Amino acid sequence: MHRLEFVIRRTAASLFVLLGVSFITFFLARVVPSNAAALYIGPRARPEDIARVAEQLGLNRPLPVQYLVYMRAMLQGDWGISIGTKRPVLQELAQRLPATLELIFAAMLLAVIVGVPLGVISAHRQGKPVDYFVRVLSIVGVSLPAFWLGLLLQLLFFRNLDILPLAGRFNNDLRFTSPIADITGFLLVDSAITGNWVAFFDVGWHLILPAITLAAYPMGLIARMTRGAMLEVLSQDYIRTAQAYGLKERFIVYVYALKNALGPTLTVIGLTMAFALTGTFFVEIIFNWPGLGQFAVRSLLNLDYPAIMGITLFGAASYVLINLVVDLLQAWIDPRIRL
Amino acid sequence: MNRKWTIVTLFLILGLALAGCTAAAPAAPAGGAEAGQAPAESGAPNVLKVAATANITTWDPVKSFSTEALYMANLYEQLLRINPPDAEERFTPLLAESWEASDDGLTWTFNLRSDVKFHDGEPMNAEAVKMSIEAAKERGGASFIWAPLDSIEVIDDLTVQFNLSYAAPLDLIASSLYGAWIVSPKALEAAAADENYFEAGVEAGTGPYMLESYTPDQEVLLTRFDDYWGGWDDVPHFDKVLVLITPEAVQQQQMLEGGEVDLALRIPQENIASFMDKEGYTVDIEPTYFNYVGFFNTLREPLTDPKVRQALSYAVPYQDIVDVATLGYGTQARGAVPAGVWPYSDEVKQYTQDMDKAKALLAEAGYPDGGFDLRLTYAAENPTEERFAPLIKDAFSDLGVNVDIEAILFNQQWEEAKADPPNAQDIFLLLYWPTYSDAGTDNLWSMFHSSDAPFFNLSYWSNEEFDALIEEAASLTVTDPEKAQELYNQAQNLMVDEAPAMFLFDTKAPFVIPDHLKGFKYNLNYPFATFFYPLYEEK
Amino acid sequence: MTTSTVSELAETPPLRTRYSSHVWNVIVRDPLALTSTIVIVLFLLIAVFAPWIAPYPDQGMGRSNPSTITLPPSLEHPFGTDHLGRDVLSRVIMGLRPAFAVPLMVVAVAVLIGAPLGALAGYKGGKTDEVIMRLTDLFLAFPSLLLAMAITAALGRGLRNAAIALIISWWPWYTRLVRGIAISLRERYFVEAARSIGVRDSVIIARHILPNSISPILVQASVDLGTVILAMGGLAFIGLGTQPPYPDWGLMISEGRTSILNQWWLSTFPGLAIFIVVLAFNLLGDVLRDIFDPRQYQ
Repeated sequence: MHRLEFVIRRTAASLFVLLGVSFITFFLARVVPSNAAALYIGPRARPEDIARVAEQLGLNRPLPVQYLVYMRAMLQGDWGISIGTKRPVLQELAQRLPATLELIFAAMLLAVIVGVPLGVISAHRQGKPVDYFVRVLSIVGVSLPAFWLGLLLQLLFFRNLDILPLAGRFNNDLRFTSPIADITGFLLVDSAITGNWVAFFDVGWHLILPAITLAAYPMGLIARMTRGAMLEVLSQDYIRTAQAYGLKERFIVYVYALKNALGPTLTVIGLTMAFALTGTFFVEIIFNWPGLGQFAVRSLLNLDYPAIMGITLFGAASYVLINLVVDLLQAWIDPRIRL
Repeated sequence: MNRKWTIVTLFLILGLALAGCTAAAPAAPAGGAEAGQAPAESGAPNVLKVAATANITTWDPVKSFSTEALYMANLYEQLLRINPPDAEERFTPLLAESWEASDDGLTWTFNLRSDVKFHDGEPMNAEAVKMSIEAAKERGGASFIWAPLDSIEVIDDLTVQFNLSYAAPLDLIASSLYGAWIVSPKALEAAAADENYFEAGVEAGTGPYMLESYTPDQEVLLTRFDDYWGGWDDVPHFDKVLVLITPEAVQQQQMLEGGEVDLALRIPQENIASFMDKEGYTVDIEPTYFNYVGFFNTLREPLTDPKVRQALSYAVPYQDIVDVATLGYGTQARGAVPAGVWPYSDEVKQYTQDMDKAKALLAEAGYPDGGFDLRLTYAAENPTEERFAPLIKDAFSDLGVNVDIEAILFNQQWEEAKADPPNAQDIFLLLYWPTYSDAGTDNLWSMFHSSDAPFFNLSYWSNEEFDALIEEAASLTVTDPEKAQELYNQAQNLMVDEAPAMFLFDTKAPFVIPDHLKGFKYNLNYPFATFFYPLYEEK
Repeated sequence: MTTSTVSELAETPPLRTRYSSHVWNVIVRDPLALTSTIVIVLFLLIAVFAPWIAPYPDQGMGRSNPSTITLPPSLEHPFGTDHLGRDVLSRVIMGLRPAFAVPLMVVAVAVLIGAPLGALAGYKGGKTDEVIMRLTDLFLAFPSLLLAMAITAALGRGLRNAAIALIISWWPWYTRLVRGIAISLRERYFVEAARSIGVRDSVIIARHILPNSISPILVQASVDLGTVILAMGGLAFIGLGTQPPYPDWGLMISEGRTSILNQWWLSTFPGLAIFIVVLAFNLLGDVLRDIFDPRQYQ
């Protein structure tokens, strides 16, 4: 039962980490910023109101007690009320998540579709001009600041060429001409399953620039990691054996070796997805995308501490979860890996 | 209440709203284009689409004291509304048909409009007015405006009497954009029991529009209240108003030019000029009652010395600040009262930049080459302050005075200023506007009258003569406005001489109105509000 | 990016010093590495002599000039001027100093905190290892930039707090890296020899383990420099980092963003500067990794 033991140990470790993460976020949000009650009320607050709200929010209790109260509420799905929108943080996150996920998925899909083949070709033609080109391209990808690339794309495709929309998730006229049903919150999916093709294409059109902006970094990383993994696999004995047996080279590279190089590539895809979440902070501001990133930045700037706690915890939790899943998948694919 | 269920319900409501079929046809098939258009027989509803920056900090009309005023002003009404300075009549009657004040200004009687209903079906009457104002005085965001109010008496169903403890312009107070909305008693009771009652997007006003749906940070959809007392037949009013919350001015401009919206409330100021000679648009540059002030901390050396404060006031590059911060859409301030608001007067003195005079004054005060540091804070949320704060730093550095600029949240700035004044920031930049249209009892009193615990008087300035002048002026506002004006002028000139603050500039608001949109009328007394009811489209 | 590269390196055996002598040869032979090195050195020189190179150094540091507001690029102002009339070229040049100095300092402090802890954890093993690694796990559980943003927001906006936040988010990576090296060194003959003759642990760590970790740390640091420059720019872009009127590329991009369609030059040039510097560090790091990664060296 080696495998089961691994799964249990790995999961337990993740839970432990999450507990620590909750402590860090609590500490960050509760101890450091200025008067939380005053923030909650907003500008022009009177001292007596601040005192009242401090009492209401339990800010006068000892910190350990506050932490326990906070943890219990968290587990019950009460992540506090956002100062900015005066609505439950969890509800805010849930409502904005689909927009962000749609963007991340689109970007990751793009990154994988472009990145993996580039990495494979590059490894196959190691040392050739193509390899050289791909290596530079992948490094360019990870060196482009998203908060600059987005603006450049807007300049080029909106202002100069005028072929793609500047920002937003869809043209607002759609609301009245062909409204999109809210089923999953993923507008592409929602418009597709209701056969609302006008909306589908409009949404897709709006998705292009933000997705490219967000994809640049993971694309570079995926291409580079795929190349590395492929090179390692290609140098191994069984590949040489296969070559000796006279299997077609193309087949070896694109099927046999790629299959074995998928493990590390999978890891990178998983990890960059978690990184893409912070990428959306920039992309969503630039493209006025109504997702988590926009909410996160506004909360950070306005010290909306319940929202900041919610977002950091959500970010860390999804990161830990993706790590866990990737590790478990790896163990599944390759039993040699141990904790 | 089960939170999960709330979320699920909200999602459902939202989903239906998005599909455009909440009120009219809840069971309509999702995604159908025709669903949203069901209510209007003649095809698509007549929708006004607006791009605005205004977010909602609360849906509670009693607490509202911020940008949501844009929506409040269309959902709720006050007893009366004050007109722009150039109008013939000073007030427009809304829920009150007529009113009168006793000679001593202590008793005000309002006769209410009959047959007015709240959106929740409750009748609007004297009892509702009493409850609304009492709630505003007790827990309102702008409760202080009701300070003169002693008691409210219900005379009969449609007559209500306000008894004041000292004479005050209650007509101005009752027309305030904050803390003066008349709200359905039923909703007020519910809100008294549950503080967050309104926050899910509940409203209960008498205004021309009702709240149909809203998505935080994205949009607010208003729909017409069929029983509105003003009626819907005079002009082709809009049936629905969709406000798209768009923080970026550039994007608002793009939406306006692309025809996605009929009205964009914030266009980048640097691009206003480009609309002036464009076909199909009218540019309207309107005064506002926003006013920028830079408080000197008069408790800190060397700002305790009026000469130093005068020297710095002479060093401020007023014209550059207007040019840079507002791109020319602004004017240098005269004291702390914005142009167009009572008791503004041309007779109040202004400083003009004069570096020689500034240097001479500094030398007189014992700082011939400057040689001291000042810490200036401004609200990080305010991009205008971010623009012009460096100009102050640069100008003062020419006097040998080093200024460290710090952008912090308004709240933090506010707390710092009040926690420990002698150790607080040296200069506090503040964007100020009167809560209601009386800058005498508001701007002058709030910012410069002495007080034991500082609220808005963040220069901590204390001058008995000034206090006495504005106290007397305020008490005469209703009974002898001319004398009041004279006293206010004296007080302001005294204040400008003593320079407890830099009086920077009043802003102007440029509006770009597409020609097909008619009925747009800006009212400087309600800068955060745009009234959608008078608007209509020319067919 | 850091995740995978660090863990990759952590698993590799320590580098023998003779590899180091190859570095220069490889850099000279690889055109990309050479170009990157030249670019970095050139930018470093410009940073050092910035006040003498920038056409308007005082404007570069933030001094406004209301008579030249938002002028497009011209001979007089090759990168145009901004909303306060400041010469964008001067601001980009003056911005080189914080762009280099702060990430260098962040990475250096992160190494100073992270490396000894990692050496200690790896060398001592057992409880010490457990405690240190569980602690680093907590920090590594956050996407680094997200953690840095949350910390900066809590501490208050500004360059200094942003730098502190970046250090807090970055040190664990070096702990993990050095720990891997320390574990593999623990059993080496020279370490065992030292231990057997009673040399104190702190001395062994300082004399043997840390010096042997220098090469991989340097490789990692060169890649991280690029990442930290990006992170700093990102923090400034959303408004948490450097505050106006000081020159910072991320801040400049953000200042120009709202008028990007009309004054394209405001954001374009500072962004180009970030891109070139980060690209140079990443290219160099990539080449260095190829040399130092034994799997590819063999």
